[in-house]
Amino acid sequence: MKIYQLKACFLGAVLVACANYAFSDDGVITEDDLFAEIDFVSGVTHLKQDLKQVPAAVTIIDRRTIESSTAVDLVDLFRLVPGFQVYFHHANKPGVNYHAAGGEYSRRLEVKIDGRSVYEPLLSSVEWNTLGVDIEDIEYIEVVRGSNASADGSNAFLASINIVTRSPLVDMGTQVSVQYGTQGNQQGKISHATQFGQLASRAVIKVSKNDGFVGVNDSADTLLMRYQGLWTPTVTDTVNFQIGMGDTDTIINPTEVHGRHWKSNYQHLEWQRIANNWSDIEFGLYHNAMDFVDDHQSWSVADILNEAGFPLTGSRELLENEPNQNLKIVESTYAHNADRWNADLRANIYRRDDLRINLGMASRYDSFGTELFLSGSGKVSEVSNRLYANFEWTAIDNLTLNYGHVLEKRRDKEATNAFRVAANYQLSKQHMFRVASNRSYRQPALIEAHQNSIHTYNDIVMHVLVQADSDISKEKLISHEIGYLGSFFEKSLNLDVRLFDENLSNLIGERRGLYQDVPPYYGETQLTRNIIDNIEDIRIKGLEWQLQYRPSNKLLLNINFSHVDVEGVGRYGVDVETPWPYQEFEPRSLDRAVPENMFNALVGYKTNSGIQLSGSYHYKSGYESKVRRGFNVESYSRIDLKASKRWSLASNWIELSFTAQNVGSDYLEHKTFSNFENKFESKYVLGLKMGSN
Amino acid sequence: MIDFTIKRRCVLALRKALCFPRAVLSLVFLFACINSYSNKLNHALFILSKDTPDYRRVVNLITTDWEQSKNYTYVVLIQSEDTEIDRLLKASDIVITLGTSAANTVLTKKITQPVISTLITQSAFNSLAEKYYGDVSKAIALGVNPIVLDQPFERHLNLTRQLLKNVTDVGVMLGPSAAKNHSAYTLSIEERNLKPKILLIDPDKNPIRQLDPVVKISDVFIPVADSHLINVTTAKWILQLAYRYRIPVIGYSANYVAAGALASVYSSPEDVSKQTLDLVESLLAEGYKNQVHFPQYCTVTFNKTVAWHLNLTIPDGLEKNTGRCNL
Repeated sequence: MKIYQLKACFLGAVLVACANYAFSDDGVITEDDLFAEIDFVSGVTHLKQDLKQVPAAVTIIDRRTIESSTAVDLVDLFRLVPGFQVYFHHANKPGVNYHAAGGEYSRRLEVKIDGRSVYEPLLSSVEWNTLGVDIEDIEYIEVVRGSNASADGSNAFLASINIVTRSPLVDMGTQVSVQYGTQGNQQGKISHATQFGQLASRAVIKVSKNDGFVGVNDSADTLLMRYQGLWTPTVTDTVNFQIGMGDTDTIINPTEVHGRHWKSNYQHLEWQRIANNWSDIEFGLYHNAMDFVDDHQSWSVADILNEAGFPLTGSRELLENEPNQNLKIVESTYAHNADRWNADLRANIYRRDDLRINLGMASRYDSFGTELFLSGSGKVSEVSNRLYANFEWTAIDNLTLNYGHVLEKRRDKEATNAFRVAANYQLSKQHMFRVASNRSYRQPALIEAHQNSIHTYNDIVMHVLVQADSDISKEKLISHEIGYLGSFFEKSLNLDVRLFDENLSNLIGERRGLYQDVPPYYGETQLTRNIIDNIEDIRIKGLEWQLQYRPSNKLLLNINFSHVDVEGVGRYGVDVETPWPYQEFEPRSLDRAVPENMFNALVGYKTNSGIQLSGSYHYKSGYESKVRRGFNVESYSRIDLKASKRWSLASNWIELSFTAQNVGSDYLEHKTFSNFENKFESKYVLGLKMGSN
Repeated sequence: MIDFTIKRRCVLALRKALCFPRAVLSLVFLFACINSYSNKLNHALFILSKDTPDYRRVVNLITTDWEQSKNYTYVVLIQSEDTEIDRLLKASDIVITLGTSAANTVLTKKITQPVISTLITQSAFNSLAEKYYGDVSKAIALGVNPIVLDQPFERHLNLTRQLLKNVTDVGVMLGPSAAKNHSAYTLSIEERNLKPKILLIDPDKNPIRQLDPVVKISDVFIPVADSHLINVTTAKWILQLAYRYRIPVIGYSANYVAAGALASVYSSPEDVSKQTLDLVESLLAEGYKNQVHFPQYCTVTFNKTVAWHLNLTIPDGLEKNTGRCNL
């Protein structure tokens, strides 16, 4: 069926749902009204589902867990999710990944903030330092462990994260917080929430800076501002909107001191109408804009001629004849910008007691402009459309079947069909088993399909940095899982186990390739180039579990463990270190590309005097961080501690906290760059918060 | 006649058993039929409004008890699926309806056998009684005995009192359906030396603007169940505003607690089945007087995370996993 026909069907369904908007005017309350589920929608399918009905493994990091945690930065929270790797290329370039190798860019994860995707088309990644949300802003985080493409699209290739920020309603008045810590950590934040006429509002301004890891040039300065508005014209209509901006100065590569200056802004509008007792409709529209300027070491013609070590046999004469010897071949800065517009319309239909349906359609426009990545200056754009549907059918009391499907079409590319099918069997109220299978695709992002970073002189290619392969194709995932959810001791102890087998093929990465048709002049020793291509196949089997125990409102225990068994190969092309005739790399094993075992334990305890004490232990086994270059990261463990106490006086409160991260000996973090030790030393942060209600 | 009917029901159930997905349910019914076929004691007809777990749970709890006592035979029908209801009604000594639709089906026929209407709200029962009998008292006089789901508002207040010692101002939200009983709610609060802060919510106006001033000045907030739309659309804002002002919400369902209320008092399927069992015994005994039955049992649940946020300790023994209600 063609897409426009599907769209027509979908719109028909939505219109039917809307047309039924009516209040029951007979004033009769029935048992259905009493038993009605209070609306808290799961991000797994966009339907109202509890964890025993969802077709995937889900970790919820709620406010209590966040406050009990030892996290200082947002990414620290993902250590609470089994199978999630949190790592630092350097202090201000964190990465988060699930199961797959932790590359320089956090790909294959959909990350949303209140439903707005922050997966950037420009770098095909999530830039965690530019997200513009702070731990304090978060109400809860819902993490879908496993592909969620049928609800969130192809970016949710391996997992999906939805960060739900605090509603403007839950805070009131002004809050001020400051942090001061080692490694130059300084932070100040002010937020204010108010009800202004029809509008509930919350505004936040935050400034922060840090010096990065000791002895490494990886500092960052950040400013962010955001505003949230909530308008509910009637009981059935809710309009949320957010605007925000961020400004971050940081470093790409500490060894070459490449600075990067980010600027971002976004606008997000969401409207929800509960149409009647059995359906609701939601429309979302957002725009993300990001630009950044990279600092480079500038090279003029004279610089190149005078630089030792460059033979320039073919181009010397050419350059020597250039009248303007100060002509820049490599500029000192390059600017890039990206835009994303996304519209999403969906309807949930609960007409039958045993069948729930989510239908949605979304359209996305991505573009980026650049001074370097597209043979110099240029702009590319792409429109992608998707139709998706999720069905939950309660076949019998204790058997729930889920099916989700997404049809995704990008301009000039074939449509892809991804699906998820799952059966949840509830053995008793305490025990649930799930079997699920997934097929997902991830199309190359704009930059992966179009990058052609070169330096030219008089239209002659002098130097090639990175080029996309013209035949690059989509990545594919086939996965199967068996899950178990158990609750014990009147739901105070919850256990989640996931046994999985994930087969990823055609993964996109960078290989080295010989020049064939583009002879470079500048740097003629550079006879190879980086090519973005489908280079890795990997199969990941394993087991992960999480245990949450909350026996009282004093004690919280959160433990998770993951074990993965990886088999895979990476084809990294030509070995640049080997002299002519430039040997092809043997396919490299990826068996150590992912930490085999990870373990995290968090204990939070609130004393009778109101002091919140927390401690966490994290272990990650050793792995190869960049297989092509053979970088090895040793296994490590770290202990983090935190103590905090809040005092209240009338309508004011003050909270003091002290966090110590990695209180033991230093350990070496993820190794992406050579020539410096990416060492995580102990970090101490003192925090003070004040607020009034 | 009874036996014939039961045989027919058994054949129907067997036919259903061959058809997935209701196979398992039908097998249960088939078993029930075969079991009941061998006895000729008081014969009950259960009519369910819907084939959903809550309705089935009530039936299963009652019939499990009867399996042991062996005093009753029974047949179970899904209201929407049966075409032989008249014959089955005639063959029954007692009819037990579960839910509003099932009650509607039976009350419209004005049968002479005693009827127990369970899993029904007082509002729904009153509406049906007025529609088919003229008023509630006539329906009662003609042998219709509702066990209403609505836990008395006083229980919410009593739970509040036991949970929170220093409460003075009680915020209450009434939707359009409950608004007519405004004075009763006010009185009930005042009788406990508490100050009522009643909000009559208007669905066509901004709910947050209506709720905020009331939640703000309340020490506890109690939403009264209304229509589905009012319940679902206001719950989110009630819970968020309550979080803002750090006041507890006392709800009326397990779902409300799961969503973020501190506590709820409500009638669970277990509570309903217990009271239905009690009533069947009474009803068939001599001297029984037909009447509206308010919930004798209740379930009280808490949200420990909310208690953590509010820094509250839940008193021992207050959590009640069904039982005769002493609130």
